[in-house]
Amino acid sequence: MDDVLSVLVTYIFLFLLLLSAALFLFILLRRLVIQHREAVFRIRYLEIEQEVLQAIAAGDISAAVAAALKHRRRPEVLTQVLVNFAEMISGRGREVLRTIFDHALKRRFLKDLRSPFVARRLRATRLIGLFAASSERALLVDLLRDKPIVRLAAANALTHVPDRESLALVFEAFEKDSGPDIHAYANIIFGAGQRIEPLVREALSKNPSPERLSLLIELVGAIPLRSLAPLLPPFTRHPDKEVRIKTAKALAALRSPDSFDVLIEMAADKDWEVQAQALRGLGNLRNPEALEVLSKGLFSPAWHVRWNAREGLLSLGPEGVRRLREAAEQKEDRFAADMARMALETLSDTRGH
Amino acid sequence: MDGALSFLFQAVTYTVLAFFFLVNSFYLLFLLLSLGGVIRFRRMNRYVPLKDIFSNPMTKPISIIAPAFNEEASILESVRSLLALEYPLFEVIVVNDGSSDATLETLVRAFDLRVTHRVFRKSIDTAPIRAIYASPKDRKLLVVDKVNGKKADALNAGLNVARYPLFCAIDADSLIERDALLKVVRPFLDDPERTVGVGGIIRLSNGCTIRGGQVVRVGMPRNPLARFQVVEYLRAFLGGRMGMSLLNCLLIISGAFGVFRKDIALEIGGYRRDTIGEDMDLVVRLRRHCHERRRPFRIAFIPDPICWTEAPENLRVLARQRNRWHRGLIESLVHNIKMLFNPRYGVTGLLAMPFYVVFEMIGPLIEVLGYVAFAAFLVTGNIDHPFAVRFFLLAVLYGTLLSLVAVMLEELSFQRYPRLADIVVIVAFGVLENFLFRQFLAFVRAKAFLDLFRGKTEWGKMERKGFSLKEERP
Repeated sequence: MDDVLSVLVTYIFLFLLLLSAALFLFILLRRLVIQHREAVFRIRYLEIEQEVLQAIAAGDISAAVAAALKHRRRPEVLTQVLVNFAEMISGRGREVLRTIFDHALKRRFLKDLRSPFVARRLRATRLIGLFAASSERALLVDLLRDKPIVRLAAANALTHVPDRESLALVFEAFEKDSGPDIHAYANIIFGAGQRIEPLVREALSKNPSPERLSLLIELVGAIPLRSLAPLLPPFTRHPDKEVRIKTAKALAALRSPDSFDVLIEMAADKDWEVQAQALRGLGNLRNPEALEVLSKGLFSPAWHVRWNAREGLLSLGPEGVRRLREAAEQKEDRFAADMARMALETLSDTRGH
Repeated sequence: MDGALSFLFQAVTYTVLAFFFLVNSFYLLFLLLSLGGVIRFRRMNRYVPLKDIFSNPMTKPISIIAPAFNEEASILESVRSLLALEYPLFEVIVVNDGSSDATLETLVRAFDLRVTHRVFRKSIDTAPIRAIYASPKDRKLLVVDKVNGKKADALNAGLNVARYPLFCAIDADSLIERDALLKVVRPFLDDPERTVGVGGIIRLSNGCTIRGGQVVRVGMPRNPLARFQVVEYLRAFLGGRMGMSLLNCLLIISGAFGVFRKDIALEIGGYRRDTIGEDMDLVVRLRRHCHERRRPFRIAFIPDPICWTEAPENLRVLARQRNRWHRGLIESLVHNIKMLFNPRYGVTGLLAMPFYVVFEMIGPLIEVLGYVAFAAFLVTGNIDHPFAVRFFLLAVLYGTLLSLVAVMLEELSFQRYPRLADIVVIVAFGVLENFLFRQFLAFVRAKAFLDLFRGKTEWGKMERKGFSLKEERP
């Protein structure tokens, strides 16, 4: 038994020794190769960057085409240059970048969209998204049936395609998709800005699930889509608390004077989260008629309601400050008094600067 | 009698051998899993525009909570580094936990701090707060000065004062890379309902050049003890935590850098005050809470957002640190022992807890038993010397292989050590750690059981050089 074990240990030892030595050599050799590649990459990067910069500065499409044709055999470096510029440049300069992309890289990445490897498809989708044109729409739409991570990248790319149909497709995916978390779609849709307004309007009328409805309402406030403010009041009585919170939040962000009565009503909601958002909205409106509701909010048992009431009172000028002083001096509710004192202190700090 | 003794020797030998191979094989498995995971992570995250997070209104603001106890040497550099982070909306809450040195005074002077009567919701009981300071120079900064109540209590005080829905718990003696928050917050953006906590990788700042609160050149420390720890950290974070995260059974997010949802942390009562392993304890209890409420959740590790921390450079301090970590681990696991092998707790009860209890918690005891038995066999002559030597060399080689795979992980992923010589040094120390360093740590961790049994609860003093001192190095 001991002999068998001894032989086994010897063989395992030799195997591990060879494996470790091979691994060590591999690490060292790989590092040497990478260092060499990086040095070459840096030199080429500077060269290409210079040419692309000149083409952008001159707004010269023919120079862009020339640069693309010259460097298309260095796709990695060229891609990195274009991505770095794309993060900073818009307008005419972006056209130059798109021209280089179209002439040097597009065909390659369109091929990658059909790759069996997810990482490749994903990379190609993101890059096409950066320089997307209407002609790529059909390809990107196909990817909306891909794995969740590619699907979301395709949706993101589609929001950059400058036509309404592409956005409609993203929205359709958002409404149907049960795979990835729908919050990721909200991040994407937000990027489309005001262009999304007709689609959100239509979606709000379709009675979506509370989770989707909450997100749509949040988008209305976050983008902001002011023309949709009149559609929000019916949701102030929605049975789902999250929908009501998002409605109050959106109304607060939109700052529409027409929503004053709705916000007053929401300030009396049964849930403190809704009350807090409504008071924030009332503060944003700076309407002196909200003085009583805001003063009452300062005495709420919920900290956030007190905080937003304090912010609201501060925004109402001298009359709001007077109410804060009264609250600070009273002795019955020490939490309200503390909050009011802190507000007054903030005021003096701000004045000091 | 001889027969019984011989049987006992054999039993101990085979138990230790089996344990040794099992634990290393598990780590090898995690490392191989991580290898795939890290490469995939890098490929999947190419060309992701981080700047989009700035314009995204769905991005949740973060309260950074930095408890500080006698950190006067490094506090300024740390706070400056925190204030310079790239993130749309955040606040930095430094909690001075009754420091006896000039931590508070240093901050007051540098940031022109003034007492503010900030009102906050006291969701968790903490030791009394003496004052809250705000800085007119930088409105993002808030300093809470409180009576000493240990780290968990300081974090709870920070949680009470925090205004934002996410909080980032960090050590005040750590440096976070400028874009780390943008990277670590991505799981919260993509999956805000399920994501409960996200941790980032911790690397050692010893040997690095630091300017303006940021690591500008990564280098190997000169101190051999710190070099051993570089290897250890690479293996633990790139291998262990990444692997466990891929299996969704991560039980630790380092206290030096982790982001959590504040509402859920408050639901479980924040950090437990009667433990010294508050970082692990929080994650274990978060998992338990989510399982008990049948709430789908995700606690992730991301290998890219980087936090730099200073490693102890002398044995005494290192022993104290590891002893404390192990006491914390034992406390957290024992406190939540109900989850062990309990199918109700899913992967936490059936995989994560057994792994941690057997290999992490009891492991050092078995390792020490092995060393003691080995010595006893040598003395009594109950050992086949050639076999023992071969076995020891095999153990060294297995350990070295694990370190090599960790280095390979580093090379295939982020390559933070720029010089080829650094890689050679890491590998060399990966071999050398098997002689004495590993045994030393096993004894220190085993002693933690004894200390815990004796009721030892103190942290032990940590000696810091401070980042500013290190800047002066060539």
